[in-house]
Amino acid sequence: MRSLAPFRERPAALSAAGLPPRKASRLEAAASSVAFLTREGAVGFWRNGLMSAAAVSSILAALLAFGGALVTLWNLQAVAARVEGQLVAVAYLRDGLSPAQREAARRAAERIPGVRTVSFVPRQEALRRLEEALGGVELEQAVRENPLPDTFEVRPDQAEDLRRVAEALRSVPGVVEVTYGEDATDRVLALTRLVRGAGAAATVVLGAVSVVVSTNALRLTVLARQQEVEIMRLVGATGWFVRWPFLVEGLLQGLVAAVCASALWTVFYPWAVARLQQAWPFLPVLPPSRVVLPLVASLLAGGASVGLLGAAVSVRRFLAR
Amino acid sequence: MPLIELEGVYKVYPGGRVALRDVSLSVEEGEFLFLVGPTGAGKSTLLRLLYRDELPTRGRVRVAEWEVHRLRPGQVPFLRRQLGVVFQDFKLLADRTVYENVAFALRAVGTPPAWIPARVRAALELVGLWERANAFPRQLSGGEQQRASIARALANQPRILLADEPTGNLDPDTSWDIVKLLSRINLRGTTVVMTTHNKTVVDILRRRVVELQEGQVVRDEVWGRYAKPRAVP
Repeated sequence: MRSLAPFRERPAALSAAGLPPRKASRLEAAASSVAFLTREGAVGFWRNGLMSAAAVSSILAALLAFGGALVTLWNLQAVAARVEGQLVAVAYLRDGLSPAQREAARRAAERIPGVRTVSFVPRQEALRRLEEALGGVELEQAVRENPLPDTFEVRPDQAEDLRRVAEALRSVPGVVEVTYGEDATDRVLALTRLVRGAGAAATVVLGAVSVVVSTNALRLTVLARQQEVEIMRLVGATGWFVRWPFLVEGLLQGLVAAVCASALWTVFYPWAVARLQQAWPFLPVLPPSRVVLPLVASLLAGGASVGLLGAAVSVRRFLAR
Repeated sequence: MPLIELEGVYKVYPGGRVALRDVSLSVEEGEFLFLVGPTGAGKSTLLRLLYRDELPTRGRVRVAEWEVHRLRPGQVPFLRRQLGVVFQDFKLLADRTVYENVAFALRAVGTPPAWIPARVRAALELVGLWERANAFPRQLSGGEQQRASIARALANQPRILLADEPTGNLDPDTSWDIVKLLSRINLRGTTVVMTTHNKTVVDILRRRVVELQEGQVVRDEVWGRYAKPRAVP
């Protein structure tokens, strides 16, 4: 291969000085290079202690904010999902359906696209719920006969589908009427859509901010080693050879920051949840058991990619030529 | 085939300053070439074209089998492994010893670690600096620092040594030592191209001299002097 050709035996010059022959397995050489460069990156991380600390703390700040955005987003999503989960269409059944007809109606309802569950609520159950809702009045005594019809409670896969599902339910044989709280549903849906969008936007923005912050922090590291880079390029180091130590250094800085951020959030989130539930017990917050692990995973992944990306961007300008 | 060949080379820097004008030059393997001329004549630019720190605006540059003027960026490192470059300001890494500076250059081109000690030692012995291998650059004299940088340039056994004002920061005696060292390296088969303002060494050594003025080759003599001898009135 032409590009590997520069190795040639010098006739007189240095090879006479008892130098070892220029032959080695390329794989062996590559492996030793990778090990060497990884070590260089790690050594750089420790040697530039103060600078690493500066880079780590700015990445840490960005990751803490990013974690905050994630936690908020997840909680908002949970609330939205819960609210949407309460949206059902209620199909009132004609009186005196035989069990076989009821079964046929249920199957027809289940066949409507977008329907998740169809649950049968017998009239006795409906009456019991009404009694409960009215505060434990014994209605059966008062009315003597139960005036309520049997119903199906139909839950859609997507809250957005509720209106369409309800329309389709109307044409199921045996169904006399369908209600689904038309206006309330639309308002709830608009609200949850807004909440989801805002949370996602905040997360994306904070993620981008983290990348910018760490790019700046890592630019310092690259600048500190500008002379080394210059000499490496001068003697004929390839682009990857120059890049590798910086990527290792960036990765380490990102990971160290991520570990710190994870530790802080692991302590802070349960504490915050406990305090919040003390103050407002009805506030629906996700329990720490459902948040901490995914959060730590996201922070580690975020820190690693932010560190790598930042290092890659900062070192790029040295390799442009 | 000459080892180095320039053909109709122009270099215009952004902003319009013309550094080289229609320069054609060829250097055979094993030659020792002095590039002389006033400051700003284009000597350093010419060297930078050879190790592709700059690209010519027009014309061809060939070094060994490399068409430098149209080399893909990915191939530049392999061109540079054929070249050792030495500067006026040495460019040694201050936080590493002489040994580590030379080893660093070998590492950077992927030399297997097992070979490095012998290579470093050979290079440092060649320049007479093996006893100072564990010194840091700041503990060395200017001449010693330049010898360390020459050792680094030679460690990878390049075919060509480019020296940009290597004696620019050195006193006359030390300059002479460095030039003798470069001459010795040349005798072992390495082609040397050196820019200089040092009249004395050029006139004593009597090697090929190429003079640049305002970016043009105005003189090319096989047994040259620093300046054209004036006609006796």
